[in-house]
Amino acid sequence: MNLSLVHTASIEVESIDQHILNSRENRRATPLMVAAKTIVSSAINSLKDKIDHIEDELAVVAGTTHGELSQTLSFFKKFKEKGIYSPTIFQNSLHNSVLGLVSTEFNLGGIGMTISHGILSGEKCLEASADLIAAGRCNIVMAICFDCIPRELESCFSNFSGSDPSRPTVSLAIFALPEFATQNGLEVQKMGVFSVEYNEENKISMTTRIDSSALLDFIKTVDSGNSFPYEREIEGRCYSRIYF
Amino acid sequence: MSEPNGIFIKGSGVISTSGFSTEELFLNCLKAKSGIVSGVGFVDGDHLADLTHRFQKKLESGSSANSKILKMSLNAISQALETAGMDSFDPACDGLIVATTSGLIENWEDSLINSIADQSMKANLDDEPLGMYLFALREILGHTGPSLLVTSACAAGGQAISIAGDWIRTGKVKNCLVVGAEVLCQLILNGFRSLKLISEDLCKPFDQNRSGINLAEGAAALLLSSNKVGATAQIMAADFFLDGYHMTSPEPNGEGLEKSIRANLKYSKVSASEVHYAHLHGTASPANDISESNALKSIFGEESLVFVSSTKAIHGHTLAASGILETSLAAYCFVNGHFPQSANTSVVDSKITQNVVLNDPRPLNGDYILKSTLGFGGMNSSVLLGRVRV
Repeated sequence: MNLSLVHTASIEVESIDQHILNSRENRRATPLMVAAKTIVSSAINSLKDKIDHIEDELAVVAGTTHGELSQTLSFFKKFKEKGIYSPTIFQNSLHNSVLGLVSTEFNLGGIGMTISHGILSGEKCLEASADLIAAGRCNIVMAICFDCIPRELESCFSNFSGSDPSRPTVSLAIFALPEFATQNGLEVQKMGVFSVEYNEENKISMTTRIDSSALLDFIKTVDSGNSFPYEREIEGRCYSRIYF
Repeated sequence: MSEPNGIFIKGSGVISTSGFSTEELFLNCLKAKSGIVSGVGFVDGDHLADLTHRFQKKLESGSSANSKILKMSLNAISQALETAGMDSFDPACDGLIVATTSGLIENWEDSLINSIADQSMKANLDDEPLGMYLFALREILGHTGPSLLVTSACAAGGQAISIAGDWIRTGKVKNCLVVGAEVLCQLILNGFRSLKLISEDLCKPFDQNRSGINLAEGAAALLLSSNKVGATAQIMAADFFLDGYHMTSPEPNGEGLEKSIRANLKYSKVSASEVHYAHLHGTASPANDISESNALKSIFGEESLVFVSSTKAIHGHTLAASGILETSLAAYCFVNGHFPQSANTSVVDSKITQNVVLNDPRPLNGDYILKSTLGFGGMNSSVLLGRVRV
């Protein structure tokens, strides 16, 4: 599928000021949600002047391995401490909650879905985004990935070696159909045939690298000017290659 | 015999609180025989067959091997492949798309709760990533073709059907197995209770006295194909849109669902007047039913003749599995020749102007059926089914 990459961004949650995280406006949002809001806001603003009704045009695919695991932990912790189950923490604990928050915050009315695919959630998010354009469902799509494992739960995974959990990151990449990018005067960072290739062994113990950081790695590869394919290998048992 | 853009339902399987096959559940819907007890629906796991021997291999070890969600899923998959013909799915190159919100949570939730209770934080969360459910299925099925797990809340099943259709249309796969499954857990049960969405009684979709939803376990599988031989229904179109309104409530005017249904009609070139029956999401939550009704009002008109019903009072709300389970039921209307009434609905809310089917099933006298599904986070999906033309 021939695609134009028209926007990339990433943000570390710890780079966000505490007063923003704790602000009244964000009182119901998790740190991952605030981070997602921050970079999606910037992305939409950069497109708004060029594309009419970007809120309806932009498709979104969210990818995550663990969703908001910290919220699941908080849900049960709060019950133990106070004897109540929090509706806000519950709604935030769903894997789909970041997409839900982003869509409500920016009044998005296009296509949207959340996917999860273990260690390959980042790659699958990119592939599913490209597939939406290939299927003719949209002309422009945002892939957004996030993951965060609470430090106190690190030891609960037998093969944990994810990215530093104290530095959870949200990353996004926006792709457009090349003709659409040209027609709307979008600045193109890179253009070419995009595809993802896998060699997956169906080992259910594949928890070696449990985050969706492939999207972040993809952005870094583009930014550094390194050549594709970008390849990721996990213990020699499984690999992915992103061609672009 | 494939048709350009033709996507067909070749096989279906269902495990529910009120029936262990598509046919059994469908007939129980017609008879209004509910599997919901005290407001919730648990699948009787003791009656599920261990079907792993039918597939390539058993799971080598671990708690997943005996998990209820896998047993339910494999029972549903087995039915779907039997009805389609076991050779109709090639695990080496056909697609597998699954929909769930909680995956293998039964394997780790108690461990997490206990570790919080004793402050040890020594839970085993190896099965926590949702993808582990998909990986377990792939291992058992020996599946190495394209795969994806969709977790867009309760609209995930409808979305999975849409994506499967795309994969077939674009030539990524020839056939695609679409599976939705959900087991009830503390997080889901207590979370929905905290949102005050649960009814302790049998739910009453569209009723003026509706008081909430019935959560339930369930699994369903559909084998979609470009080959129409033996198919029960054609998927004319399947779409999904955000409504950007609220984290847990659909947009009151049903804008997202309206957009999705309009996309169905446009793509399939079917007119609104040709749609005979709509099997709605109909959870019996006040917000859902009004939103769906308003979406339909926008498309079919205030005095719509389209028959609508919800079967949630029979099998409950199976969350991410609901779109697939209920599409199985909707497609089965073409086989049976009738569509089910809205069980346990007595007096329709005056704000709902659709033609809600009460009391008894009706004969299906049309060629097109609509299936809608809504989910938290502003998720809306709809599938337009058509009679297979021989």
